[in-house]
Amino acid sequence: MYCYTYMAKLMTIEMKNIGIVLDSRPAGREAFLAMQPRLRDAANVELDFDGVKVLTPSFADEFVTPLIEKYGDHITFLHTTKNITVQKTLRFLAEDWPVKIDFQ
Amino acid sequence: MDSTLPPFPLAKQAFKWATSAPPVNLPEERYCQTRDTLTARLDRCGKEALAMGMPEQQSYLLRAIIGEIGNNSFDHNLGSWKDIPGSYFYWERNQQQFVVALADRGQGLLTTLRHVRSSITSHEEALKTAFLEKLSGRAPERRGNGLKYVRSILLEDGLDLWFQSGTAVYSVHNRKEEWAILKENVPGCIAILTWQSS
Repeated sequence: MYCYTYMAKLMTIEMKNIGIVLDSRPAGREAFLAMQPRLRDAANVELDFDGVKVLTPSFADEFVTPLIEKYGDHITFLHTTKNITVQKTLRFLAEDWPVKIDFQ
Repeated sequence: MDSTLPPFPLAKQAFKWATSAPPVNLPEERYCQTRDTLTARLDRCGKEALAMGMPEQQSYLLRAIIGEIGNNSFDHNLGSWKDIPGSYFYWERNQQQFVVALADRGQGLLTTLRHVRSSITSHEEALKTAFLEKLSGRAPERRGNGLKYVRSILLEDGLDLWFQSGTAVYSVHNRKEEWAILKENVPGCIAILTWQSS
C-alpha cells in the first residue's frame, strides 16, 4: 500500500518526449506549463534526460529551476552524463539552486 | 586572435548588416526574422558541422552556444528593435574551419543592462557584466545565465568566439580571453564562432 502510494506520487518526465533539442526560454516555459496538470498530485519527480541532444540554460531555467523550487530534494535526475550539454547546463545552473542535486 | 573582426566573408557581411544605415539587403537564407526560423536553421547548421568532422558532443555544444546567443537577440529586443527585427545567422566552412556568424540590429548590451543596473555607463562594462556576472537584462524574470554559460564552454571546450556590442569586444582564441575597445560601433550585437578542425 505504501509502495503503491509512493509510486502513485512519483512522476517521471522523459525529457525527450518534450524534445531532443531543448534550447529556448519560450519552449521551456511552454513545456513547464504543459506539465502542470500531470504534476498536480506528484510528490516526487524524476527528470530523465536519456535521448536529449541539446539542453541550454535558457530552457532549463524556465523548466527545471521552477521544479527545483517546488520539489527541492524530491526531484531526481536520470541520464545526465550521456550528453555534454545536459551535463554542463545542469551543473552550471545547480550552482544557484537552493538544494544540492545528485546527478546520475 | 587580435581584436579586429575575424577575416571571414560572412563575418564582414554580418558586420555590415549590423552596422549599416540604412540596412543592407540580405539573402533570405541568412536572415531570421523570427525565432522559429533561427531554430529551424540551427538543425541544418549542426548537421553540417558534423559532416565536416566535428565530434558529435562538440556539435551539441556549438548548437547550445548558437542557441543562447541567437535567442538573446529575440529575448532582449522584442518590441525594441531599432529598425529591422530578427537576426543574421549563417555559417560557412573551409578545409580547416567551421565559422558561424550571428548579428542583430537590436539595442545592444549597454542599453539592455542599463534597464536593470543604471550604474553601467560603458560598453566595456556592459560586456564584462554580461559575460562575467549573473545579471539579467529582463529582471525580475530569472535570466542572465546565457553568456556566462557560453564563456564557460569556450574556456573548457576549445571553441573560439569574437563578440562585439557597442565598441566593446570580447574574444576567446585557444581558451585565451581578450577584452578590447574599438572605434567602430555595433549598435546591437555580433558574434563570430569558429571551430578549427585538427
